[in-house]
Amino acid sequence: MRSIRRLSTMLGAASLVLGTLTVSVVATTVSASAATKFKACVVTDTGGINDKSFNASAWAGLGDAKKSDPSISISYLSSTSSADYVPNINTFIHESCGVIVTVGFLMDAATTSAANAHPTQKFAIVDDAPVVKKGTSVLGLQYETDQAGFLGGMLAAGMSKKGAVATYGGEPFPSVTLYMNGFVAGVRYYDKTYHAKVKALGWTPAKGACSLSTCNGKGTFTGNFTDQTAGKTDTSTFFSEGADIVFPVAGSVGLGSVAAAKQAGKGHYVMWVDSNGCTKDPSDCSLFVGTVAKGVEPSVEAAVLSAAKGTFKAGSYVGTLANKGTALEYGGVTIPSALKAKIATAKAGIIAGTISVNPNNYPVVK
Amino acid sequence: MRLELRGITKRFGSLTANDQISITVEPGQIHSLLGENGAGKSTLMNVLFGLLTPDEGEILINGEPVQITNSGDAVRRGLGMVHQHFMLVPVFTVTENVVLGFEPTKSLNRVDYRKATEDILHLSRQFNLEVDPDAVVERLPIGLQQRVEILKALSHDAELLILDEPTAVLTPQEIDALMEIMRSLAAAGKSILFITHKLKEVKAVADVITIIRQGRVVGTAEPTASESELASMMVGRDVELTVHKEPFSPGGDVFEIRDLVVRDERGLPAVNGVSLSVRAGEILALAGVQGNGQTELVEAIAGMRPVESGSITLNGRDITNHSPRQVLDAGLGHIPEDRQRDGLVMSMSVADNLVLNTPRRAPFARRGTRNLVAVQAHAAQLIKDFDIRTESPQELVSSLSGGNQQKVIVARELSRSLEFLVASQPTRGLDVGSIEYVHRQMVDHRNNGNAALVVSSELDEVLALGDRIAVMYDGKISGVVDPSTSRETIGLLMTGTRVEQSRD
Amino acid sequence: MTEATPVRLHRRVWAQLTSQHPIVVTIFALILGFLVGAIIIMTTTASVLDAWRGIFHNWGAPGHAIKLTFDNVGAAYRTMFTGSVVDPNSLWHSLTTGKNWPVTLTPISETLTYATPLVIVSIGVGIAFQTGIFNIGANGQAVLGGIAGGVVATMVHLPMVIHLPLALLAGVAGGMVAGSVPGILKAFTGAHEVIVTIMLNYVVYAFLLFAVLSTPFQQPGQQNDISRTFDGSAQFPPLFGTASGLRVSYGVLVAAMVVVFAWWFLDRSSLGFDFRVTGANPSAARASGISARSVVVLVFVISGGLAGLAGFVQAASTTHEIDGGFLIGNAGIGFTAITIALLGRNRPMGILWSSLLFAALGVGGRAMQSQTGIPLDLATVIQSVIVLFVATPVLVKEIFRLRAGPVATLKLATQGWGT
Repeated sequence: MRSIRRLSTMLGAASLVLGTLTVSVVATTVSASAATKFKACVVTDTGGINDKSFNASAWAGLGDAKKSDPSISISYLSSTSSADYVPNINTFIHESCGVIVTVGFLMDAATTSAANAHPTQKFAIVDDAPVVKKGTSVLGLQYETDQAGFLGGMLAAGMSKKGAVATYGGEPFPSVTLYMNGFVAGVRYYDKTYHAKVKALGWTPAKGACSLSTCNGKGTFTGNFTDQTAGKTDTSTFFSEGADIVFPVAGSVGLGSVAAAKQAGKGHYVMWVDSNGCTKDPSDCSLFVGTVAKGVEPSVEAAVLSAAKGTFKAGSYVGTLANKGTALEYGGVTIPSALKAKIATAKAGIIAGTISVNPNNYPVVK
Repeated sequence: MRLELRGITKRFGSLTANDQISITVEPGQIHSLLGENGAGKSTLMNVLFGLLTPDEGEILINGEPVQITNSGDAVRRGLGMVHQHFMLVPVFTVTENVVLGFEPTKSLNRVDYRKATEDILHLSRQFNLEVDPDAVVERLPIGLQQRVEILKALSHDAELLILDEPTAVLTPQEIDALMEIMRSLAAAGKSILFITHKLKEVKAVADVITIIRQGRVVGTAEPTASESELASMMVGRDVELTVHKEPFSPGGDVFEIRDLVVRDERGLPAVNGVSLSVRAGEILALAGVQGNGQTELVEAIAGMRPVESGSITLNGRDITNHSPRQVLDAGLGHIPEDRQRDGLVMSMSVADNLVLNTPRRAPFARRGTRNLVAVQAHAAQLIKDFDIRTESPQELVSSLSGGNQQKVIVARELSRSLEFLVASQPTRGLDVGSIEYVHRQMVDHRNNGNAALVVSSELDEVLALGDRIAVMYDGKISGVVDPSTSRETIGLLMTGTRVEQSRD
Repeated sequence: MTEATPVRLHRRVWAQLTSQHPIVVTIFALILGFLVGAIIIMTTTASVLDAWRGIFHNWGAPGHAIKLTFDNVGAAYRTMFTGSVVDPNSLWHSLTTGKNWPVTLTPISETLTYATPLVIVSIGVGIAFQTGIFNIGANGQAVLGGIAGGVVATMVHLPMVIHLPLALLAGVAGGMVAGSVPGILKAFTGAHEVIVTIMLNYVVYAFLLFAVLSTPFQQPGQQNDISRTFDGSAQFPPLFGTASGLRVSYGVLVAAMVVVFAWWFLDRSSLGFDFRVTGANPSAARASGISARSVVVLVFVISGGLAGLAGFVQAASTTHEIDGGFLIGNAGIGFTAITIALLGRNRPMGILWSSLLFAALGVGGRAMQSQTGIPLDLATVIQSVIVLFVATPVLVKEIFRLRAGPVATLKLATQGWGT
């Protein structure tokens, strides 16, 4: 009881502090942030800025821009659900952000309507190309990830000891399935070209070719980008079905695959997605055969810097192997140089247009 | 031991619970502390036992001022307390309970049960407190359990025993036995502080009586003083101890129970073949030691407990196993045994409690919307009619005294047009003034030609109210007798002993 | 007890301020909540912490550290206020020039938008609390209400005067269905409502995914978990028109009506009286002829119906569609409702104010994060601390040395898990 009394005296004093403080809140009028600094803002999807995936990459892109031009100030708001997209974007519009970066195809509708209502406001949206009114300034950032996914598929196929590799997604968005489609194409290409007897699980492409906006097929999905337990379960299932390398395309869900690979022991690996696994999760680098990277960071950085300089161009940007908007990066596992050479050849072929990344061109013979 | 309390004052905020109380208990004296509930008796005992620190005054033991800061202190200084609710472990034996916390030990810290048993036998012989040291406490009758409590106090070398309302749970025979024990303890030089509000017992056993009212000592009296003198000192005004009843002129049967069997929570038949009938203009009093099936019987009548077999009829209508709502609508009034649990909602106002079981009746509600003006007016009327002491109808019922809370229930039930009233322990825990009031209300109700069943474990109440007295023992009616029957005979019926019945 | 002697007014005011009146305890809990928030800001802002570490280095340092603390905490709470209520500068500008009203009103509009479904669902939870029922399933009931209302809003096409009320009733019915399951199970089998409602939440979440991935309800041309967009005739139109850009919708009128309904229901209706008696003393309720079974079923139906209404209002006034994450996780208004009901002491007006407070903290927290970089989670910490202190009035009493009075206990916080 005595100690509570003592605490009460302390807190009593503190309440006086607060009293003065409220006065100061009212007394101070103009906020410091009203300076003429250029402000870049990002609204993340529900994964938040620590999802070790595309939300994190977008935020890192803003960070890179600030490094290049320290006069830029940056800010972010995470969405706890889709109901937060609109108010988060509105908050930034009211705070006069120079450019608002929104992350993900799910924010298409919210970004489109905000852009239509505020035509002078600059937007950049990752993984989407919204259809907006003329006179608005929206830059869609998209990436032909099936190109790098193809190389990833080759790498996985070449590294597999058991003759099977697998992939799964978070949700069947085109930005997700494009990766998976390219991956499966790469596996099939490697199987056919080098008679490796290796197959891909987790994605069966539909007929026809994929584009940035549609990429259909049937596959394994966890249903969200946050449930790591589901990722672990799916990965363990693939391992038990004979796969030894798994490619999760599901943001932070992929960390469940890492856990499953650790649990399964030697010879089980993960192919990381979006941004280099060894940078994002260094402690697990030895489990990553490589990363199918998407150039979110550099493209977001470029968008922000151009907006700050006044050279921002609305429209769309498409990242390819050629412009390094998507790439295969090697991980912590030693790759035979012969395999690296095969991959380099294929890369050149894709850029030159002589190798197709459509899996339907490499039919599986049963 | 000579215990002296000098000018004890204890305040709680603006309330003075004890105001300059001075009492002296001489060695070998039975000193009775008489007062109503809320007079300040419990506060005084808590001060004496170190649970509360007095604001003023001092405590002297054998002439020396002492500081008592906790109950351990009190025990070490030779004070022993027998609580109203026993502090015994039901599954332990008598010996185990008595030595609990102060076990005599042999080598290696083993409890020396043989020595403990011998000590107990020695004490029992010394003070006529016969009890089997190896008996398990929960199997003993209440009266013997109380002896165990007394033994426990004596085993800690208590020189002064405080008995707090010790007779509330006893049969008349057990009360007599307790009085004997008190006398023999006093004869052996022990001092006894006897706290009670029952006048008969005080007169029977006390050497000196101190009466306290509203925290003050209002006087002392000799045991030779009359009951009405004591009562008026206790209440502060003249009190009518006997209720005036019109001559008994019963009408036809209003309420009838046939071969009723009701099970308790454990599935055992608590009411085992009871048949009773009550006539218009009659109060049937149901006597018996608590726990013999009265509670279950009343709950079954009120529709709150399923009837296994048998029937209950009210004005010829079968109400067996009807819901409480149906039973209430059939015109049954119910004053429940535990008023705070079953009779009132403590966090609601007096006005709401006065319509607790008739909230939908006109004019209190129309088409699902309550008419608070009508509820208020109804409350104001009943507060006046039944003399409920409350600041306003909006006051929470929890801030009322026990007596006024009971008045709320009595007012609510008697103001409905009733066919039959069941009252269970209607005056338990009430002060003399309130008891007088409740009794008068019930007798008025009966004088108006209504029928009532009053269940009570207080023999005085049973005798004062009953036109006929049924005695219940072990789930059965052990006899139905005339109120002129002697207390001893009824006491025997309460223990299940069959006696020659005088009538019916 | 009326005071016989005349007491000076300031004495009486002081007496009220230092008593344990529930409102006084709540106000002190608010102060403590913001104090704890201030301490957190102070100890997590690097520059402030560095300044305090350096206070022994030179004479001016302590003053600098104190100033920096006040600047940071002040800026945080100032942006919280201007971001959720009104920015005084902007208000002055609008008042003097008559322009920019949409900008000035945006913060309060956002707060009202957030508060609207919270008020409705919290009142449902509060009514259950007052009846002694712990409805942990309000979130699932809200989700099912959203689905049911959403189905009518997307698959039936009618003029607004019929369509919106019909979809709204479907939402209420969806919540009632979800609520009646635990109600019936508790009433007839004695199943504990806490367990049943928690479990049922997951059943509803799974059903939600099924619904938004199934052909008739799923957005055409989409493979992911999102419903069709509600018909314009089944959306709550913005209160100030679409052109204003202010999101606050006619849904607030629904919330206002729910507050009035709840007041009538609890204070004036016979059924509400039965509910309150049952909540305050179940034995006395039984002895007074109130059927515990029907009360349990009805309270779940009403509580669930309000939750379902809240779910529909949320979807029909903001997103106009439902996705697989509808009201799940941090967006679970049905769980926030439990704390709001506790803070509002289960009274309609108390819940209204508590909802506004929670909404303002959330909306203001967003502005605070975007302008000062202090994470939005601070708002959650403040909310939690406030509820903690309200739920433990003894602590507040000791800290502020309040005199005994009507002790502000939250009965349900301690009895909710019983029976």
